[in-house]
Amino acid sequence: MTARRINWTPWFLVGPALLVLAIFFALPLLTLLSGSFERLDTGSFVITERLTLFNYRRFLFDGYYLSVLLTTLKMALMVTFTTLVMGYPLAAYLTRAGQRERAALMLLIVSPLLVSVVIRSLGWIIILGPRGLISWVLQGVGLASAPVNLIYTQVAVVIGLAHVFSPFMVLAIYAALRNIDPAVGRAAQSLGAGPIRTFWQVTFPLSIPGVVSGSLIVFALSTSAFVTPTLLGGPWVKVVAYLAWEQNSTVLDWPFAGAISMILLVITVLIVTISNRLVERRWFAGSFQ
Amino acid sequence: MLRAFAYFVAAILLAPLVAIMATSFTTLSYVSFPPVGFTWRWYGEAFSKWEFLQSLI
Repeated sequence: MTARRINWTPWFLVGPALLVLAIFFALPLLTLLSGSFERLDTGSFVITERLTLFNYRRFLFDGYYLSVLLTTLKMALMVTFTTLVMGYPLAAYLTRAGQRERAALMLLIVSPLLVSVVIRSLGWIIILGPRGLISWVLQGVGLASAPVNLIYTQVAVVIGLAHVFSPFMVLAIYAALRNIDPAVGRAAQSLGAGPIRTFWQVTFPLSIPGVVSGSLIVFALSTSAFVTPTLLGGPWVKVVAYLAWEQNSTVLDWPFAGAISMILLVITVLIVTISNRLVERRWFAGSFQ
Repeated sequence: MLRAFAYFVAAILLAPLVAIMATSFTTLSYVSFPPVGFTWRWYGEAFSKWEFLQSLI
């Protein structure tokens, strides 16, 4: 019997990247995980227990922390829905636009990512504040008699997050739509389907992979967003990332901050994985045969 | 209609930047919409502030 020879070439190629990931991604995460099982006495800053679920119990059996978690997930869902509804038509139009128009629109679409988060949020404060654009328009039209303040509400946070994460949604859907063979749509129309039926029965199902990947990216980014909710939500809208930061930097309870981070991570990963599986089963069961 | 909606969305994406640019020329000393008047005063103040130039560089 000849000994199986191991082909080392792929390992040499992937090695540097693997090493960087292990040091800068896996190691901090493992440190966070092991730290989250410790119990810190915040009065004396002494670790009283090494292996306990105290921090997890403290989060999961507390109405305040759970309500913050629920707010975070709810807002992430609203952000995903908003970017999908606003982004899909934009992506669909991109596939029909001419080359120069598409290039110009592309620049507009990625523009939120090119601007600093502070400037972006200040812009939204100008628009949503009591002396802002929306308040001015509503008062002008007569729908409001007093200045309308949307700043420091969940609506403001959802708008701000949808604004910055929309490029991920639009580009994912656009990539999926562009890969659809135009002949498929023509075939549907030649068989008697109108434009609406062609869209819902042919184009949209074929673009589902883009919709799913865009939604998952936007949802995962929204649950862990920190700066935008802090600037636009102010003291009244708290998110889980803020709780973790608060414990980390103000209370200095690192084990509890670690536990909060792990809970958010696990819940986000679970939701993303489960919804991905469900969609795959629903839409792609035996479709590629 | 698709085109109109696409440009509507693009306009929303650009709105915060436009709002900031517009209000940077206002003669008021607080942020308000619509902007009142036109002045370069705030640019002058920003560039005459040592902290701003220091952090910019």
